[in-house]
Formats: sequence, structure tokens, C-alpha cells
Amino acid sequence: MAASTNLPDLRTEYPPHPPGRSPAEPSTFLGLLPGIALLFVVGYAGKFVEHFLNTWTKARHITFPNIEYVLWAILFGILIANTVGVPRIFRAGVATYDFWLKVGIILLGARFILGDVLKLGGISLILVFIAVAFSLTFMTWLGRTFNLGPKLTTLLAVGSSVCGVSAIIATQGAIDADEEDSSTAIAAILALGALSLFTFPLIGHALHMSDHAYGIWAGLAVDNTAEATAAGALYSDAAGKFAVLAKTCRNALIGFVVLGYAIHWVRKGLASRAATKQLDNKAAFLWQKFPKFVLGFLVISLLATLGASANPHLAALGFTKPQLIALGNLSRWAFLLTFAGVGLRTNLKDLFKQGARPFIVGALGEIAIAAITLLLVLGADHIYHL
Amino acid sequence: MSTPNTRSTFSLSTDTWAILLAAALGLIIRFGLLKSIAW
Repeated sequence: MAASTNLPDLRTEYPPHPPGRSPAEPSTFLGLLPGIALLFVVGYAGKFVEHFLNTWTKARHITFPNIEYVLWAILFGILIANTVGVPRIFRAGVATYDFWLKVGIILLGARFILGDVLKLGGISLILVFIAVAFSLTFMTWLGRTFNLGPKLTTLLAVGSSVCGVSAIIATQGAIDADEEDSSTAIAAILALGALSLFTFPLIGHALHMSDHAYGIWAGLAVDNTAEATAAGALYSDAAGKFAVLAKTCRNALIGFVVLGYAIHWVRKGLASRAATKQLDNKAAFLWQKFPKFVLGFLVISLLATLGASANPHLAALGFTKPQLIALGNLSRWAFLLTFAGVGLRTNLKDLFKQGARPFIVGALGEIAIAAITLLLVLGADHIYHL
Repeated sequence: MSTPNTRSTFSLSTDTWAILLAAALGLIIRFGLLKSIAW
């Protein structure tokens, strides 16, 4: 992103240093390594426990549900973060979990043929439009009903309808919201994201949802991409893949929603001159907010599609099947680091510090959004056989 | 999404770094420098 961006550096704004805590110090490349190593150790411990439990219970003929490594990695992370805490030396590296998420999503393109991306992405986009329109309206109404400030209401609405923390931060700059409002909205969205990790898979299993339908539901309803990916992967590997696809469609809309709100606040005369000036070039504004890594995902998916082409010239340009398997596995390793980071940055005490009202508004909104998106996905599954 | 295009240590955005790393890994695999990755 260009240097002109007014978005804050999330390593200082975003957990593992939750609102109110001292931010991480800027770090060198070497300074990131301890934290990245910790992500790997925690993630790999999750993978080891999954494998160990499976072989141990099988050897003893014990019926035990397969608990994905994702859950173990997140639980170990939460346990460390909320008992001994994450020492300062690891914090900068742990904050890279978001970078690994983006790397994982780009490489995940290897597991999608472009036709599937267009078909499922198209269906997801339609569902996203309906869900976003509903979420924005409903959250705004809820915020007013509970007498929340209009800017806090806007931040909660954007956070729960588009893409969680990033949408809140992008909107904060565009509408000149207070730091306190954005911290509160972020804490509420993170708390609800943590809860969704445990509730979504249970609901999915109770309804016997297919991997496709569940994955798309998680992608549409869970706010942060890391949590949406984890909520999908907790169900199954395939569900995780579809959760990322649906979530990516949702993320792609961030610019339009933020632009809409920015225009609204400027028209009300409540935005600063700097925020107003940003709207001079709307195309540049949209491009600035667009998540560029989505383009990387599409390029990898295109190369995967070319590799499967019947035309030998086109096939030579793309990836072969073993190469796609290798890229898909690299994507899984990147997600492993992400899931460890999701646990390590979850500070349970801080999450519930933000006061009851924003949390209640967020929770009611999330429940309504989860219910509406579930109905939409079940309807789409019935019509399109997702 | 977790973060919009945040800036990272080396003054490139995390999106750019993620794309660069993924491109490097893609090239390494495409040209057979790494045959397979275990999971």
C-alpha cells in the first residue's frame, strides 16, 4: 500500500497487544524469528496431539471423534497467552500470524480450479451482498436501540458485516472515529470471533451440513478471516477451503462498504478535512482498501487451471498435479502458523473488558447474522447443490 | 479479513510481502527445486 495510507500499523493496534496494552516495538527480521518459531511449535504441537490421539484411540479400539489439530493449536495458544503470557521477545513474531494467513490464502489458490472459484465465488458474492445489506441495517438498528454512539455503531456494523478488525480499522480512518470506539468494537468482534470458533462446528455437525455448505456459512458469518478459516478447518479440511473462498469474497467488498460510510459521514459534515480529502479520488480509495493478496490467490488458481488444461501449450504454463499438492501443503503449513497465532493473541480477560452494551449489541447482531446466513446457505445448497 | 494492507518491518505492506513469498515458493516448486512438501 502506498505510504499515503492513513491506516495504522496493526502490529501496534491489534492483539497480541489488545486495547490498553503496551504495543509491540518495531522489530527487525531477526526479531521476528522467536515469535515465528513459537507459532510453529504451538501449531505443530496441535498437529502432534491430533495424530497421537488418533493412533492411540485406534490402537485401543476406542471410538473417539477426530479433533482437528486446529482446535488443539488454538487451545494451546489461548492457554499460553492467558497463563504465562507471551513474553516480549516473541510478540513481534507472533503478530506475523496475519502475514501467514495471507500467504496461506494465496497458496490455497492451488486447490481451486478457476471455474470453481467463479461458480462458488459467484454464489458466495450474491449471498455476501444479501448478508452485508442485512447486517449493516440490523446492526445500525441495534446500536440505536441500545443507545450506542453513532460512530461506534458504524464500526460494529462494518466489523460484523464485512471483515472484522480490518474493516473496523479501515473505517476508523475514513469516518474519524475515536480510538476508544474502535478499540471497543475490535474487542467485541474478537470476543465474538473466539466464541464462534467453538459454536459454529457444533451447529454444523448438529445440522449434518456438507463441507461445502458449512464452509461457505463460516466464511459468510464469522468476522475475521483468521477465525473464519479456523472455524472452517475445525469442521474439515475441505470446509476450511470453502470458508476461505467465501470470506475472500466478503473481504473484496471492504472498499465499497467503507467508501459508502465515508461518504455518509462527510455529507453529515462530521468527518475531518483529511478524511474528506480521501474521497477526491474514489477509484484510488477503493484500490487502497482492496485486499491485494486476493489477486495472488486468483493468479495461483489460474495457474492451477492451466496445468489441468487439455491443450499442452497451456498446460505447460501451469502447475502439474504433484506441484499443486506441494503448494496446497505449503498453504496448510502457513495456516498452521495462523491458527497458533489466533490462540496466542486471544486474551480472554481483555476481550470482556469493553463493557456489556457493545458486547450485547455485537452478540445479538452476530446471532442474527449467523441465523440469516445459515438460512441463505441452506437455501443456496438446496438450489445449487453446493 | 484480519488486516487490510498493513505496513511491515521493511516498509512494504504485508500483502506485498505475502505475494512475494508465495511467488517465490511457487517458482521454487514450478522449477522443481522442491519436489514435494509433506503434511
